[in-house]
Amino acid sequence: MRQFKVALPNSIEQASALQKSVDVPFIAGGTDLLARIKEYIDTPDLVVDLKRIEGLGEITSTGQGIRIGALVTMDDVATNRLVAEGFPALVETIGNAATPQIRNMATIGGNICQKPRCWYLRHEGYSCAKNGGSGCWAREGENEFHAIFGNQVCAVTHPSNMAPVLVAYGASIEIQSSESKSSDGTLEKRQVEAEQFFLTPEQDPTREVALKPGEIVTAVLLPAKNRTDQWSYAEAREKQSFDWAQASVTVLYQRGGRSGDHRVILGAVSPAPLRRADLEEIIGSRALDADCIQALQEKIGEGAHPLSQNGYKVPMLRGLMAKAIRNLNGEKKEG
Amino acid sequence: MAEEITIQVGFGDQFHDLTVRLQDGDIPPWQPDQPLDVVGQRKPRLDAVAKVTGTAKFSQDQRPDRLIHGRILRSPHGNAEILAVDLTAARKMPGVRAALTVPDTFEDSSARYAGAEVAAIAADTEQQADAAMRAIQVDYQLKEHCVTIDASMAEGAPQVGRGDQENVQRVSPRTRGRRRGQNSNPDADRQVVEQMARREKEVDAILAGSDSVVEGTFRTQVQTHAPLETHGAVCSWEDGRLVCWASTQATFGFRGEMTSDWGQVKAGECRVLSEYVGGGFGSKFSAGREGVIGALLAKEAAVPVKMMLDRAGEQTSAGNRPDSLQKMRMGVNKDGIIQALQIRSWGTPGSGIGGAGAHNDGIYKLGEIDKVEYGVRTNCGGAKAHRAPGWPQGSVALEQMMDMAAHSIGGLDPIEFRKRNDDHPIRGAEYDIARQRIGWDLPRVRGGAAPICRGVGIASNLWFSAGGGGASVLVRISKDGAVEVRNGAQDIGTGTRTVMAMVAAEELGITLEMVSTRIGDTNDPQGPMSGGSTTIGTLTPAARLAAHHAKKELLAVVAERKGWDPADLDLRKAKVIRNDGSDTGLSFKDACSLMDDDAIEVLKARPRRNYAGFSDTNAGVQAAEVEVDMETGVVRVKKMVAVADAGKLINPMTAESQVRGGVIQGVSFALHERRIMDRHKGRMLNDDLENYKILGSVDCPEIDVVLIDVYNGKSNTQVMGLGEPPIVATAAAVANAVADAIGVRVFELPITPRRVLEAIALQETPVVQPKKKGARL
Repeated sequence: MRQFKVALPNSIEQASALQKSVDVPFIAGGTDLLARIKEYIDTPDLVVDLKRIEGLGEITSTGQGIRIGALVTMDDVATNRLVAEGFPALVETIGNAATPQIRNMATIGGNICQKPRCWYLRHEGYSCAKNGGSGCWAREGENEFHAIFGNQVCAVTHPSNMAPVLVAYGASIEIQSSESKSSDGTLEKRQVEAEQFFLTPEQDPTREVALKPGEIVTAVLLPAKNRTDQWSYAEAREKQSFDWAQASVTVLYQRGGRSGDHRVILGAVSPAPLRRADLEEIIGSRALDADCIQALQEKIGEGAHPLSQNGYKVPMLRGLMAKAIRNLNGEKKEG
Repeated sequence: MAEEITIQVGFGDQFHDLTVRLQDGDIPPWQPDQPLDVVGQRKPRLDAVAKVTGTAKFSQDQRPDRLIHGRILRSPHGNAEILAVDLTAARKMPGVRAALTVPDTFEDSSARYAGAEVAAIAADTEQQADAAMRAIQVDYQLKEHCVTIDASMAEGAPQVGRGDQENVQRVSPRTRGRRRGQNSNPDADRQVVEQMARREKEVDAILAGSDSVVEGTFRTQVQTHAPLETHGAVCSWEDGRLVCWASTQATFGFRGEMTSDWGQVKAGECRVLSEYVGGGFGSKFSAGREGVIGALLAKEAAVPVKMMLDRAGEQTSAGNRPDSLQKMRMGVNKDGIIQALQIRSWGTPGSGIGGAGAHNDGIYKLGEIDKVEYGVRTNCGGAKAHRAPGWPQGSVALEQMMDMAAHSIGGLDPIEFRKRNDDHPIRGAEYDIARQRIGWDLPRVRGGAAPICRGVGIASNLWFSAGGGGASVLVRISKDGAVEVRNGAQDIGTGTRTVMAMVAAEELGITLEMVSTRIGDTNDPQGPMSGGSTTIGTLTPAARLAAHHAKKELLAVVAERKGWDPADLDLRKAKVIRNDGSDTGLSFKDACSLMDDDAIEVLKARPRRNYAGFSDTNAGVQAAEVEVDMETGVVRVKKMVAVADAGKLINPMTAESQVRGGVIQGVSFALHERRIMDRHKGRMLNDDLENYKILGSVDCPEIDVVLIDVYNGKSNTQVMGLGEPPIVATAAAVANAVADAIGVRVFELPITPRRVLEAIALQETPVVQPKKKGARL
């Protein structure tokens, strides 16, 4: 590992002011960044540690929903009563992620800002669109685990299990920066909807999230739960212990609702969580029966551009879609 | 001298007499009716607490004073020639104390795969060593690469080897009479080719005459060893003598390499220590370049150097189980008897040529065999022995052929089919146990509408090592009653330390707690390498013999001091007893205190040869039960039944642990592990433990181990090897179970969701093919 300095600011303002460029990363749990530094994928001279900043480590009820501070660990999110009552799909996805050791260290802020796991990106010497060069090695290379949607510029998949669920729940990301203060000198809080927070390579291949230098994720905000919501999450991966999803389907279903009320989000098949309004529309107000499942399965592969080794993700998505709907119906839990 | 005795050999209720001629002062094997107090008991390994609590110090944990850190610079290129290495800038970096180049040190400037060693450096801190390593300037001449056997076998592929070396070369049948330095021997070669053609014709004829012929093409992947503790050593020079704390499967082999030309040490001046080893599956027999580099850097720096590989170096360069491409045709008659088997197989050992063979014709009676085997050179890290080298990959192909053949003759039961083609004296009974315990005959959902399908599969093991000569064990009984067993070989986690102590305790009539074992130090008596599952079979007869003679010496002391008849004395339950079983009232400890000297020390060599025994091989059967999700292709192994035998079981608990380890590694091979090479730059993309997937604890099936105790009679402890056999059948059993579950065969390992979904898709849209005789699943 290359040596680097660590700054330990006490406030968001100090931390933000230290990040003059993307070459100065923030660190919280460090489960992703430290591995990248060890491998010389990132070679920062200065790392800004956020853990001394107060007020970022709590989960609180806000009246309009709940606020999860950016420094709350994944394990604390998964075991929190407010989260379990209002947003059980989060508990489910976090429980599947990584290992207990990682969940004890990793934070929710870090989780949504982590870098993709593409094996070309994570080896020295592969210059590509994502790391500031051009092209994508995976497209004509080893791409079994890569994206089948939105993969023309860069074929990474979004690595967070939780991100599709945040999009489904209509979460917002709270962001602060020393650059933007209100008249009384306090930092303003900018809010970005999760759906807009995660960027596609077409928007900017070098950035995965809508953050400018100096901007810090300070919280994840979840709007109050609609009592008629039903949720379902189905994912597939080779191993149960410590593995990444190869595909996932998150469904948020509003009983008695119309197409605009439901959410269908695909994970691990595209560079950012993929909301599928066309599938939401199919669900519409119809019965969740075999015909519905078949209609969804026929549609789900639309827009996919599989590469040489990842065509299997289309039938896999079809299977997960079926599971997700059956699980909504309260059939025996699978997947 | 040689005494002829009659012993009983066999297992279960099948025993018969066997006359053996004892050699080299040996003692008779334990007999079935002989009461044993320690041997055969379940005993936790002696080092269990030390390992679990972290007090056990592995090589990785050694921190001698003034320790500095070594790093190896590896070529990032798929194939290159090293033109020049410039250490000038690197040597000026902070903390650097030593550096070397591979072209200078090993006279090798070809970096024929990404990961090949180029240079090495040692610095005060790990960060300094990392930084200095990146300051080494290397001038490479880049060449084209082939990193898969398909690329290497393709027409017009770039040449991997040197001179006239072809990418694909026949390794069996071998052309004899080839002289060193000569690439071919045209006359001898022509003869072999003619013989091969004759053989092919003969077997073709038998196949044509068989009632049914099945065909299959199978592929298995490259599996790395991935031990938790990487290769390497902590090397320290003390007054001109080299001490290495090494992670090794061969302490004496490691020392041997250090005292070769490269290591620059004299035999008597090198001591290798290896008290605990963090995993050894066949790739740690050699000191390797990293070991030699560690010693040389430490010499230059004049302080101890830690030269353990990082994970990427371990994954790319420290060995692997080679891949295989196996094409087979099997002829079988309606009575279920196999007539003939034709095999063509390919595999890559890396840029060399030998050692990639798949053992695919070793278990059953297969009729006439026509087998040709090729090595394929690739620009990849070299293969090394990997737990039953060649066997699991061969088994994956053969056992699937067995199921396909059974199916082709009217759906004969796969177990019944195997029985008809198997005459192993132990395995016959093992099939029945596996059948019952896996629930072979229970109804299951197989294929069809349900998303989760269940299936069962079966496959067999074989192994063949009762140990051999070349080891001596020292047993020392101290005046204070302490007993120590010493041998310089290593315990790679198999339980050698514990089992040696148990054998000595049994022979001395004392409890296990009264014995300690010292192991892993080349200053102690010579011991074997841990390869071929021979360690315990080699060491325990020497330990028992040494303990036996130490007991005789102790009893002689007792007899002399007490005025008793030494021939009437024995030790049992930590007491001196008489031959009629009566207690003399003298405890073992009191007996020891009668010594004039500090201790009795007996060093005994293992008798060289093994006796005829009950069976030259051990058997074993494994059965798998799997669940396959037809919608996602995800396979879960729910249960493995592993019926195993290994001669006389000294410690069923550590034996069981060996079987579990083999099964876990085998399931991991079946479903997950594989080296993924990048076609663009020729590098290994999953040179880590994140994308190189290994079965985790949550994925582990229920493992039902059934051990068969066999009085084999091969040596005085009758132990057969057990490290390797339990991995032979596992992947094959899983593959057969998957085919049973989903109704279609996945011909390539690992059986990933992708391959399962692709196989199901192929089945749903059947391609019309010319009908071949019996060619069906």
